[in-house]
Order: sequence, then structure tokens, then C-alpha cells
Amino acid sequence: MAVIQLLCPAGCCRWDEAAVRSDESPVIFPDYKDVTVPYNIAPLNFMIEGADRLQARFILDGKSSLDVIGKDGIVDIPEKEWTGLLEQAKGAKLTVEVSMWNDEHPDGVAFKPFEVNVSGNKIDAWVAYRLIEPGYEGWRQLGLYQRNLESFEETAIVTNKDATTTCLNCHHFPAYSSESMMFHARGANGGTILYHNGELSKIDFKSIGPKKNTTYPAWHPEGRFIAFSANTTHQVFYGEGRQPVEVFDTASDLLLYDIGTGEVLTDPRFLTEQALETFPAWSPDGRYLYFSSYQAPQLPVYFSDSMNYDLLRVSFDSSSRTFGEKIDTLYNAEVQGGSASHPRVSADGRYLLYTWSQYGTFPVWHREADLQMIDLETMAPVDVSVWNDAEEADSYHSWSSDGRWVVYGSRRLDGRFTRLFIAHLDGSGVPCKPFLLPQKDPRHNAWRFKSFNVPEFIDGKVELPKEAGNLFYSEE
Amino acid sequence: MKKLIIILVFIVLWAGWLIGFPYYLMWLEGISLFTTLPDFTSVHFHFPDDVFRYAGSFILQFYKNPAAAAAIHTAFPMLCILCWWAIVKRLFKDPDSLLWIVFLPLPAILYFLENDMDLGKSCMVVALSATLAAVAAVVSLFVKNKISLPDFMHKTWLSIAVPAVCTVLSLVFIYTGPIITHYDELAELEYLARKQKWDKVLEKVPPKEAKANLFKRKYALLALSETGRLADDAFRYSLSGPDDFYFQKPVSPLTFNYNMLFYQHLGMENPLIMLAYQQETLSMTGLSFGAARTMADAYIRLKDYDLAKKYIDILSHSTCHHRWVRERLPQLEAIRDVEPEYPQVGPRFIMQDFFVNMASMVSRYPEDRKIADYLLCGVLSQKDGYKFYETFSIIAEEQYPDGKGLPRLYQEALCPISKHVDGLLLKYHIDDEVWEKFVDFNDLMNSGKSHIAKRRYADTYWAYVFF
Repeated sequence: MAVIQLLCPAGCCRWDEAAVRSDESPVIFPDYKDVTVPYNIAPLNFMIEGADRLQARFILDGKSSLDVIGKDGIVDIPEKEWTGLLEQAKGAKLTVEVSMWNDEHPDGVAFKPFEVNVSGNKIDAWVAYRLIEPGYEGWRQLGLYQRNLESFEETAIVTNKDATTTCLNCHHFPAYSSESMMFHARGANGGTILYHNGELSKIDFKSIGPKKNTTYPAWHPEGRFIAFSANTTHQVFYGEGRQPVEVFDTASDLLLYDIGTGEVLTDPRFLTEQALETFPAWSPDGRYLYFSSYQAPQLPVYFSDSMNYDLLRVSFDSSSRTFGEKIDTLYNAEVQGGSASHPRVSADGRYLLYTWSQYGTFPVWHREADLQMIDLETMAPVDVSVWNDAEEADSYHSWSSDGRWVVYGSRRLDGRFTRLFIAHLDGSGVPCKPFLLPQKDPRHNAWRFKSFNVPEFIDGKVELPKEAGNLFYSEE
Repeated sequence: MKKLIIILVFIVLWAGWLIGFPYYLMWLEGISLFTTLPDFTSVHFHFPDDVFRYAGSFILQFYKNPAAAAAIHTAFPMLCILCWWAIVKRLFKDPDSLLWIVFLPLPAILYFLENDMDLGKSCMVVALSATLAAVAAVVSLFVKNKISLPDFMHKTWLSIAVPAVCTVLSLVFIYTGPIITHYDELAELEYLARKQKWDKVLEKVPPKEAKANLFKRKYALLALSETGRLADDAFRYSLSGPDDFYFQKPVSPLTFNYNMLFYQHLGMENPLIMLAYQQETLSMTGLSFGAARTMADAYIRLKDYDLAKKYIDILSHSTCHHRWVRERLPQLEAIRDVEPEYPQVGPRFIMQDFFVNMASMVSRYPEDRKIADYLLCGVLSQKDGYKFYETFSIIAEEQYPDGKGLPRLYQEALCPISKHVDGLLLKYHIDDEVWEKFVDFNDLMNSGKSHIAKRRYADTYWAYVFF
């Protein structure tokens, strides 16, 4: 039986029939037409610009299951009914009939229905990310946040309001666990903050091992090791053109931190000046470390648009804490062209997803940046172009714990602010159309002051002790 | 009588703010932000005193109008006075003759609130005073015996003299506060530059002032450029190097704002937007009215509908931008279905130092006189005549193809070089007057009368090089 959500004041909450039927699909924002969503996703609230009144009917198996009367051009779906509907719709399609009234259509127009595929694959309930202005050198207020994907709850894990202008970045979790977390705090009293086994600690990597400042982390699935790249990063600004900035490294190496002993382990092959290794990522079984690498006989002193990164992997033996002799090249930039960043392996170990860009190591500022994927069983590329936007950057991504979902950043909405998109990879390895992270008010995605950054799936809500802020508090 | 005193004090302080610091007050609005959007609200209410900053942000919206701003700025201490007056009335015997007591802390309060740019402290002081008044009201219900003060404290003359002295002292504090004065002067120049009142800028910054104040010198040079006089009068306004044109490393909203004006003036949208984003990060919420307005307008110019709409939408969720938004909606609608147009001539260039940036722009826009003058005057400031000639001869092909109508400083720079470069005087016309001065300058220098040369030709390139 249909449930009519009474959202409007008296007089406008009556379900109505539109006078005109259109052969066109509605232009809704966000675009949820023909997307595939997990059955535990938050309501897909949407809007039509210029609509005075909206009606949406969600139909399952030919029967009307949920009717929603929108207000101010927004369809705000009641959470409880939505959750129940998706539970029933697992593995099926929802048909959505949308009708709209406005000055142009005073008697209403019913659009051609569209479908939403409801996957039987559940998505991890939480995703952690950083919110930061898409600015350049400076920051003031930023933080690490977490969002419940089953609802609209967003909470701060830690923000720099506790520590004036400290920069927080590169958060990571071991094997999706919300019980442990690490992030870097940059600033006068900064360091790498580790929350593990219920204990908080701060590591000053500049004072141990090779005394390098650590950057991109990859926490080993067993929890004992964290691989880091140690990058010397710079940025330059373009005086003209659509791409405003270029971020690049002039040095980067790989380090391995043993949480158990507090040692920083190194492998001389990954400490040379002739190669820039970055973006470490473990295979789900922890037996391989994947990373990007740029090798050149002589590194450019400054920025060069010929710095193209390969994708490499090396085996790892956690008992001996050593890397294998052989280094495999999975993406050869010289042969295949472009540059590969952010390698991430799916939870089943089958797929390697990475970001391709024309050159360099910071694809989020490259409009041509796209996600690309390799099937590690056949080593053949998998076409994931449906996940990419033709115009704007699609970049940092992470896999869900079941390897069926990918969350990634895309600038397709306006070319400047990164928003999160979620995409499904079905059991046959076929990528489905992605959808924008649902918001209670769909316009919230467009109005946010900040960009989403480094999304990572986690299995629950992170409860970082309040004392974490004290570890990096600084008046400066 | 009591009401009259309070009203008089209000008017005097209001007039003091309005006459003395209108630009500072208006400028405060530009570095603040208030919207009803969740991202704004969510960054507040973290610390206990955030509620006052939130209230301050709301109030600062009304500072766009200097009279309203001065009234609100005056209202904070006056509300405190009314609260304290309520306390006196509740707790003291014969309170009518004790009004003067509540004026005693006035100078201290104004001193305390002098640099309160987000109005957080101001709102807190008012809230605290109101709380104390409420407590006094409750206490007075239980205390029958009111406090009695000695007779001499009830003298009528005190009710007039103390408010008057305290008001004068308050004005002294306000007017001698170096920070507010400094901000007001620069905020006025910023305001005039935004309104493109360049002659007014030059009126406010005469050569003597430009010599003494590096920040004001930048505004004067910007105004010279806008009025086409840079290559005539740059040394008159104490140009001493490319750092005089803009801030190499802006750190404060004032410096960011200046650099934004500089790049806007040159039509360089990329650095303008970059600076606007950087300016944003100086504000607590990561955005400010000033930066949002700058970006909305910049993105409209670039025909970037999505981003222009974003900032216009954000501003439409504030209280005082309805007209501003309404004015831009037609412009926004006009770019709805067009491709963004980010200018780019030739290969991209990386922003580096002044000379690289200007040379890159000159090579892309050789017809642009302003950019050419910046580059040439920058080179002149380096006192390298040959470098100037090398640069000038390239630029002149586009700017002065017939070699005539050269600005004064270029003519002056070419005079000494003409002795070493064959045919220079055939290629470029030097006015007789300039040449005669050059001859006279040389004679004075060669006859040991350099002090006369310095005085007589103080604003010339020759004097800049030699002295």
C-alpha cells in the first residue's frame, strides 16, 4: 500500500494526477536515473530545477510502493519507508514516476519513468573523508569527517578547530576497521597520530629511521605495518587557462613502519633519488605492495610535464618484514602513455583500480583524469568509462570491503569542488552507472563550501578520543 | 535628563565612528560571512563562545552601510550601559542621581573591543551585561535594603561631567588606536579602488605619503597604471622595485585584497581566483562575503555558470545580499548554456616572479599597454638601462611602432642609452624638453652640482638611478 508522505502545508499535499504525459525523462538532480544503488543506501532525495510541486511514485514489481509529494521542487523521501522499500527491492529494479507542476505546466506533466537498480550487495555503512577548501597553499578550518551512508548523519572525527591552523591529512584505516585510525597533523606540534588498540600516540617520523616526513599511508591488512611514501611536494600556479595549479613531487621514497617495534624499515631500492615512489597500497591479503613510480636517469629540478608514473608491485613477507626481489610493472607509462596514480586493489584481490592522467602525480587538478582498471587475473584492462566524466577529473577512490562498491571523488558538478560518487561493480565485473552521495537536501552537494577529499570506506563510526586534539594542539 | 545624556553619548560615539572610521566598519563586512547554509552553521557551536561569533557574523552583514555600521558599533557599549543602569536601579538607593557610575567603564570597554573584528567579544560583553542585569533583578526581589552610597556621589554635576569625560576618553581611545586608523586608511583606498575612483586614490596618497608608506605606495602605483600615468610618474611616487607593485607573499586580508585588485586590474583571472580562495582560508568559516563576491563576479566574467551560481546561491542565503544577487541573475542566466571561457593564449605559463609573469603576459597580449608599462617600469626600477632598452625595443614594436608618443620615463631612460646605440634617436622620438633636461642634468652632475640636479630633477629616471 502506498504511503503518502505529508510534507506540504494543508492544501498542497493531495496526490494529484498530471494532465500531460511526456515522453521525456525528468531532468533530476542528482542524476539517479538508471543508477545501481546498494539496498542500504540513504534516501535518494532529488530535485527538479524550476518545479513548484513534485510527485514521485516508486514502483516495485508493478505495484506502487511509495508515493512522495515534494516541496519547493525537492523530493524528500521518508527514511523509514525508503529503508523498508529497498529491503524488499534487493536485486530488483525500482521504477520511478515523476510528475511536476510549475508555471509552464500548471496542470502538471508526468515524465517518462526511470529506473533505479537496487543491488543485493550491501555497502559499508560509513565512509570517512576530509573536507577542505579547494584552495591552494593555506587552510584555516578543515577536518576529517565521517558519513553514515544509510542515513544523512555526518559527524566530525577530528577537526583543526581543536588546534588552530593545524593541517590534517592522509587518514587511513587497517582493513576498513573503525577501531583504528591514523592521520597526519601538520604544524608546529604536528606528527602522525595513531589510534590503535584503544591507544593514542603521536609519531615523529622526522626523528626516527631515515628521518623523512611521511605522506601517503597504506595500513597493512594485518594491522602491524603501515607503508608510507615520503614525498617532497611542491605546487605551481598557472597564470592562465582552466587548470589553475599543478602539484608535483621532487622526491619521494617508500618506508615501512612497524607499529609493534616502532621501527621505520627501509629497502634501498625504494630510497633512491633516481625514482619517485608514491601512493603505496596493499593487496587485501597483505602479500603485495602496489605503488606508483616515476623513474628517470635525471630527475627534473622543478616541475616537468613529462613525469609519467608507472604502476608497480612488489611482494611482501610480513614474517621477515622484507620485500621480494622481483618488482612487477603493471602499467608501463612509457609504453602505454600517461601517468598512473592511486593504485587500489579490490577486496577480492581481483581488480586494480587507479587514476590515469596525462602526466604527473596529482590527478585531481587534471581535468582529463579518469579511473582505469586492470583485471589482475588476466592483466587485461576493464572498461570503467561509465564511472568517468568526459569533462572533469575523476580521481581518488577506495573499494568497499566486499569489493563490489567504489567511492571516488569527481569534479563533474562544477569543475572545482570534489564530490563523492559511488559506483557498483557487479559479480561479472561489469561497472554500473555511479551516483552522487545522497544528501537530505540535494542542493547541499552544490552549496558545500568545501571539497571532499580521500574517501575511505569503514565498517562503523570512528570514536576518536577527544584527547587526540591535544596531541597536535598548537597556538601557532 | 537621563535619557538625554544616554542619547547624547550615543550620538557622539556614533558620529565618532561614522566620521572617523567608516571604511574600516564597511571593510569588516567583507571579511565576515553569514549564511543559513549548513556548512556555515556546522563550523560554529564548537566552543562555548562560538555562539557569540555566530551572532557577530549575523550582525556584521549590516555593516555594508557605514551609518548602520556605526550605529551598531555604538550600540554594543550603549547596551552594556543600559544593562548596568538596570543593575544600579535595582541595587542602589536613589539611583536616578547615580547614572554617571555606569559610564565609568565605557572607555575600558571600547578599548577592550577595539580589535574585535568578528564582533564575538562585543556580543559576549553585551550578553554578560544582560546576564548581570537579570541576576541583579532576581537578587533585588530578595534583598529589601538597597545599597546606599555617600551623598557626594549623588551630586548633579557628576551626572553630566562623568559621562562627558568618559565619552571624550572613549573617543580618544578609538581615535588613537593605531590598528583601526591603519585599517581605515587602507580600507578607504581599497574601497576607492573597487569603485575605480583612481583620482581620489591619488589624492589620498600624494607622493610624500607614497614615499613613507609602502602599502599606500602600491595603491598609488595601481592608480597611476589605471590612469595611464605609470610610465610618467612612477618615480614621483617612489617606485623602487617590483615589490612596490604588489605583495610577493600576501598574509592578511588587506594584502590579499590588494593583490586581487592588482590582478583584476591586469585581467588575470587565475591569480585573482587563487587569491580569493586563499583569502577565504583566513576566515573562520573558510569563506567571506568579499571573497564570495569576488569569485561570483570572476566566474561570471569567465562564463563559468556552475561556479558563478554556487557563489551567488551561497550569497542568496545571507540576509543583505538580495539586491546584489538580483543584479547578477540576468548575467548568470546569460551564461547558463555557454562554455566557460578561461583565457589562454599560447602555452600555459607558470606564475613565478614579477618579471616572468609580466613578460609572459606581454608576450601573449603585446597590445596591452598596462601590462607593458608594468614590465617596463619594473625593469626601470632595476636601474639597468641596457636591460630596459632590450625589453623596450621588443615592446615598442607593438606599442610605439612609429617611435613617437613615448611616456616621459621611457624617454628619460633612452637618453643616456642613445649615446651608445646607433640610430636610437632615429627610431624613437625624444621630446626636446626631455633632451634639454637630460643635457642640463648631465652638466650639473659633471660640474659637481649633484645636489641641484637631485632637487631639480627629483622625479626623473636619472635622479632615481643616481640618488
